[in-house]
Amino acid sequence: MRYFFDTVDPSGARRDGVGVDCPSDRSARRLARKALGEMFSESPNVGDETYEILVRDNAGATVFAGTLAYRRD
Amino acid sequence: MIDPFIRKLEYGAHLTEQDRADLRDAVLDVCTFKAGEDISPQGDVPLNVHVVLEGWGCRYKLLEEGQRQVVALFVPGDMCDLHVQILTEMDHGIGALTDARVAQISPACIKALTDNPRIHLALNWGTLVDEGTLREWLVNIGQRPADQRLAHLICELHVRLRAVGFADEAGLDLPLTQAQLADITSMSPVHINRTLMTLRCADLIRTEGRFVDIPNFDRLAEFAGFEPSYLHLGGTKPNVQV
Repeated sequence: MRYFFDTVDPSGARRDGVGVDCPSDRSARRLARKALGEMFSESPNVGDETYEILVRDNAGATVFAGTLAYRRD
Repeated sequence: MIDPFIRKLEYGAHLTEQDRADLRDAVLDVCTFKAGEDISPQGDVPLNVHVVLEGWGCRYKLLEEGQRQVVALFVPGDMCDLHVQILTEMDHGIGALTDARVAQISPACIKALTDNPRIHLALNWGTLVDEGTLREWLVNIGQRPADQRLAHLICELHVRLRAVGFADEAGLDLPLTQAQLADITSMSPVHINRTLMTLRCADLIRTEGRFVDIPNFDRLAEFAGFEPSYLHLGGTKPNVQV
């Protein structure tokens, strides 16, 4: 099954028009957690920053939504 | 075109015309594989040694839920496991990443090749290069951030392909999907896509379809921390030549 990974980072929002094949919702969610961690951990971390991933399945249903944020305070 | 297998082994030893003829004769039994097909599946009893002549292959492990880790890439000229026939079972799979032409070498033929001291030296050199490459990949996956990690892989592939005449100075034909690059680098396909964009924005690479153009190799290598000594293209010591 094909899943679409939309991302938001400090440079803007990006809608996934290509998608990634995953065998199940569970594996799509695992991939989303990994991708969110990759985006977050490799940030320059210069202030308040928010990173988001939203995963849609072929039918448009949301199967994952996650946010990680840095705070200056 | 010079056979990439011979071209590669020339880095490991000074081969004679007869050695080259013997090596050419050793890779006449050729099979073709489609992209995604197994060349030597995990769990099978290993029989022959494989040499990739055209296309790309890989060594991989599969996890229960379908995750795949590629632990080695084979480009033209690369041999998969010189002494594999002494083992009882393949502990990993060897598969084709693209359509590929792969030669099979029987154990008897390997025995004949390794009885020749120059070819034996070159094949041992090749095994050490494989091990050095695996160590470098471990460091790459374990320690480098995504942008340097992907840049390092591109540098390595460019050097390896150039060494066998399958790429020129300008860049390389990279016939891999983002999902395959993800399996190689332990990154998510999502992050591969973002990281390729980062490398393009920094003008470290330019992409046009499958072709990766490298405007300045030294700059890309410096960015990646790429140091090619582990590929041992400088060859073997003069005093071990036979």
